[in-house]
Amino acid sequence: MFKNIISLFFVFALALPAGAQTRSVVATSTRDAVQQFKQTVSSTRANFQIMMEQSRLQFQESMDAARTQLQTRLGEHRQALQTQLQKIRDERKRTSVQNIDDQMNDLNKRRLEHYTNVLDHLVTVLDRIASRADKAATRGADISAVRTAIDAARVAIDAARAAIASQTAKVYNITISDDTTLKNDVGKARRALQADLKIVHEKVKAAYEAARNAATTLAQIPRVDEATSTIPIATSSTSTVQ
Amino acid sequence: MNRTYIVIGIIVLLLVIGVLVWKFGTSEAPTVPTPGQTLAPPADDTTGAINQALDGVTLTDLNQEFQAIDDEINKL
Repeated sequence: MFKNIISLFFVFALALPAGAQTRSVVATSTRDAVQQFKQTVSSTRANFQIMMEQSRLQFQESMDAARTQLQTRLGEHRQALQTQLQKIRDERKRTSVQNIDDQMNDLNKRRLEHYTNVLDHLVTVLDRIASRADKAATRGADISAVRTAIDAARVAIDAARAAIASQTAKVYNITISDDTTLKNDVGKARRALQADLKIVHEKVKAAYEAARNAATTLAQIPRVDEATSTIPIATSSTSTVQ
Repeated sequence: MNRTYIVIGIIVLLLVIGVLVWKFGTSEAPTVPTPGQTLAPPADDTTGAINQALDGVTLTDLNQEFQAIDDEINKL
């Protein structure tokens, strides 16, 4: 009888991992199906929205991590600035440097919010382009060039978002030698901020130009505005930008 | 006789565990979007409206934003 019990244990010990493996196979095949769906989906707009949703989630994660990093860095930065300020004898200048430092942090934050809003707006514009392209496709128009242009714009938006996330975590330490070199010392930090923001600015500008190119490519389709929708419409709403 | 009940008990227990593992395991798999799923209506998607939306995008001048900081630095 004991032999029977032991045999049964062996049978189930083998059967359970096999079941787990089957589940793993099911999950893998489901993921494959998602991938396949993305590749074969016929609607340019649906495809664009899937890709942009992934991009948005990734951006959100990066921004959360960057903001956490910034909080830690800001604490250290303020402490370091207080130490540096002790090298300045003039009280008015000390206050000025403190103000400049605050203004630089504010400017960085404000500019990045501005760039984020611009990119969000570009996403909604590209969504409209994809929608119009789908309508043109139902009339038999060749929209492959528009799809390519939309993809290029999407990649440019992703690159700009990555630059924003990276810039979000940055702080600019002011290293002071003495009162006489103060203007130059503070100027160094200011120039570093401007150079970094310029990089983000250029990436956002590139995304804008890519979106503009997608719009121009769309407009080249003959009688593109005459096409009407045959795409089913749902009740959920798209995001808007202030 | 007692051993027979133990064996039956173990079999039933393992079967229940097996069914639970299978059921909850597979429910964690992601759902697949269907190509026929519907999309929210976009805003006006005519080329005129699209161009207008793009014209409305303003990338404000970066250098100008530094004016206040530069003024403060010049006072140092």
